[in-house]
Amino acid sequence: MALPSLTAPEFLTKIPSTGKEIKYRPFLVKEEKILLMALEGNDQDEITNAIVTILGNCLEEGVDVNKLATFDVEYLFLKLRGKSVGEVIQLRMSHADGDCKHRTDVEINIDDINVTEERPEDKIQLTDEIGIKLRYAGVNDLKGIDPESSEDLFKLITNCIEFIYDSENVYSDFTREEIAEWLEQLSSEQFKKVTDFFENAPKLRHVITWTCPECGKEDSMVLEGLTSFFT
Amino acid sequence: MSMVHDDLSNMYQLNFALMQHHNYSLTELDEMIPFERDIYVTLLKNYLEEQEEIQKQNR
Repeated sequence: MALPSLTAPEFLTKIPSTGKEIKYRPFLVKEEKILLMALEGNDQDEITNAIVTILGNCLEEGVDVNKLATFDVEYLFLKLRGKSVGEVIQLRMSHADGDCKHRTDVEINIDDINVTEERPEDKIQLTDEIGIKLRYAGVNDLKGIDPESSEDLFKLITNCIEFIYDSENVYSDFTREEIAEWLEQLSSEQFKKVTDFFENAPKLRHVITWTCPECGKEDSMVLEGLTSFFT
Repeated sequence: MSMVHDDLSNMYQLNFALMQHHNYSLTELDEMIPFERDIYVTLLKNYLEEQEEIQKQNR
């Protein structure tokens, strides 16, 4: 008979996009190793894969990490980090500009970092009759996407369209080519409405402020998205 | 700022030291929560410092 496996402590949190309460356990040293190896490679897709793997191991069964929005993944990973390594992060902050080179010790508490409150409308009315329903981008949607490339922006939008509707029908069965062609018909104003949805999507955001003891200047730095928490 | 508190090289060096000098197994270390391992390392460090102090006093 197989021996019962030892279980790690479990904690509760909510998925920011749905408000659903889920259980999670801290990650283990062997799982931190996966992340350290990915960080060593300095490849964003590998780091994302490592985060998805670790979250998949540590979240309760039934939560599909690949279907979560990116800000859900970022928030949950931050929670996981807090319970695994510690809630307080010690930082040494320096001024981005100016002559003072002093580095100030700053502490931040992971529990103070939250997802922005703004929730853009996911149904976008493009004309009086035609509209589009979008969903927040997940980690898979962002793989290999360069945010500066307009071609990649089209790809991202295509990935995140749930359906298109008019006064009579809902269209959810379409090919990528069809949707790309359809997007090209949009006016710049209509297209902006679509891109605004992604730009205004919730994100992990925290402002660090500190006063330099050397020059007395108050300074601040905005951390936005998980990437900025890794650099 | 970093989401992790370690780097790969430190992790291997620490694991090696704990296995080589303090009888931990790699499985035991791998199954720990990172903050737990930090606590054991701190306790071990305190213990070694105390032992060193005792040895100095006995000389």
